[in-house]
Amino acid sequence: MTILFGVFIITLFLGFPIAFSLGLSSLSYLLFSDIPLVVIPQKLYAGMDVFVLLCIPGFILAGNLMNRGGITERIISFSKAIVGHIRGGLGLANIGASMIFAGISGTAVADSASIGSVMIPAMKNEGYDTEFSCAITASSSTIGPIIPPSLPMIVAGTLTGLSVAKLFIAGAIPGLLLATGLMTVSYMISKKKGHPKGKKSSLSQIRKEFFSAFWALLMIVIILYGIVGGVFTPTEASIVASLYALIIGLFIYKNLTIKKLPKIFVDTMITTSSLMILVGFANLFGWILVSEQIPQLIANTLLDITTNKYLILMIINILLLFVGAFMETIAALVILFPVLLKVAVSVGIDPIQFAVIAVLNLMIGLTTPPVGVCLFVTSSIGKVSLSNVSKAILPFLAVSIFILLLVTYIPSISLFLPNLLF
Amino acid sequence: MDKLLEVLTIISFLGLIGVVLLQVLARFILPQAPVWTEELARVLFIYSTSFSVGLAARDGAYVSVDLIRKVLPRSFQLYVEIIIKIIIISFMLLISHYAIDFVKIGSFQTSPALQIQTFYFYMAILIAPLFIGIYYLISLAQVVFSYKYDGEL
Repeated sequence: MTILFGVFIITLFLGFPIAFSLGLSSLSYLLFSDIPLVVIPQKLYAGMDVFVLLCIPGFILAGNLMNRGGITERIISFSKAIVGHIRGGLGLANIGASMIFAGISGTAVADSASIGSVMIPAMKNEGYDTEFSCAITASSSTIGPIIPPSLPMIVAGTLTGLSVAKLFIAGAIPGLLLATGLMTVSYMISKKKGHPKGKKSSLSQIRKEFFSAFWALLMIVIILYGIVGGVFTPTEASIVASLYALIIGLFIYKNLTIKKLPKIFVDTMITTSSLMILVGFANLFGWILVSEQIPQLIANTLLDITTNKYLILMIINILLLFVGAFMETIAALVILFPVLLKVAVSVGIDPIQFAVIAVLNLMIGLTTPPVGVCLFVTSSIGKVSLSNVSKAILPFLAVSIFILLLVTYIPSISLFLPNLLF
Repeated sequence: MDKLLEVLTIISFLGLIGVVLLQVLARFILPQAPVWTEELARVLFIYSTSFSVGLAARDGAYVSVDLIRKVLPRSFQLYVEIIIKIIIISFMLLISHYAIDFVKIGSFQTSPALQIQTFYFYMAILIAPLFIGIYYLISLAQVVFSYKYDGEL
């Protein structure tokens, strides 16, 4: 057992891709325990042979098609038209755009890259300080995977057999809360710093922007209605969304051309397969953990420390925040989520609520200085130093953590909607 | 090889999109949705993953934690990188070897819905490590050659 974890940790910190760290550590365990190595391809195959995983390429493709098909820009100008006239309006528009965008794509890093590349230069032009613009883009992009649909939720559901549709719906209220919290902070900072306000858009302008963004907004309605109403499964929804984005991009907004498509498909699959290889090896690794009863062991150890539900949640929160700060979200989920879920369930926490807590944690980790990935992405777009963005993000981080605490200790925030609808 | 893999990736990806769309449509139009669409979509997905996973290796798309390695001295970093690549290449060879056994098992079984020998499904798991290995070999060669020509980096 020590060999499994030893090899894993050494290879991980040497800089092996996480997938191969999982693979090599499993290999060394198998060599020592005389299990035939043919289980490696077997478990790899079994790990990838899951229908729900098909929505990974689906949602990534939908996101890529939106970015290159002009849908992203229209979402941004629509939210600008609505809140642009308030002081610090572009900051609010940034958060609003993230919320809408969240309804279609499902990853935070993609959100910060695509919204950031439009919003950060625009905010700079209008006289916002760049650090603030980068910080707000990074933290608002974490709303994406909380509001449905969401890749991390899909992965969490696949790993543990929880209903993905339920997980999606459970994220809705926490996501809206997070957005409200961030908007409040953003408004307060803007007021203090005297950030500019834009011109108030006339009603006809708003109407014009609305019609321009209409097809993009309709996409969210289709996805959410389809999943919640039981018309299609999450996987089917992701594929339908891609088809929809393709049609809109090609024929209505006309920013896409057939020529651009092969590259978009290949890019999508490259991103997907680098995640799938991780899922495959994690299945092997997880199989070993279960056969050695490690999850049980960790659960018991934690439960020996305390059986107080609130303390356990606190410990898990701290652990996940820490891990989320330096490990990729999906990777952290596949390694930790099944184990921690066991602990959580044994102290009486609802698995759906726990999944929301875990994903929220890992998202916040993405913006935690000094190593959060979203910080890297936005600071490189804005061309400012990481440490300045890190300072600027602190108030946003504080409010995110506050929302996390609310979600952690008030179960009905995440459970109200799933209980109502299912 | 890049082009071939890209074309194969696109074909299987488009195939899987088509099959899933068919599944949705069939549910609305036909009285009973065909049972084989889900199985076929899964297989196409595994194939498109297998074809593109080598390309992902080429682009360095895999996620890793490189915090520690970044603080090491430059020349040391290079050695670590070379060693990592060699280990991964051997690991991939090993997996391919056992994947052959796995594929053989597949020729005794047929899939539940499509009634095809699972042999054809399992082939994907042989393809994937082979191409990862090949692309790592290429990048290893590149690293070593650039080191030779530049003397030190």
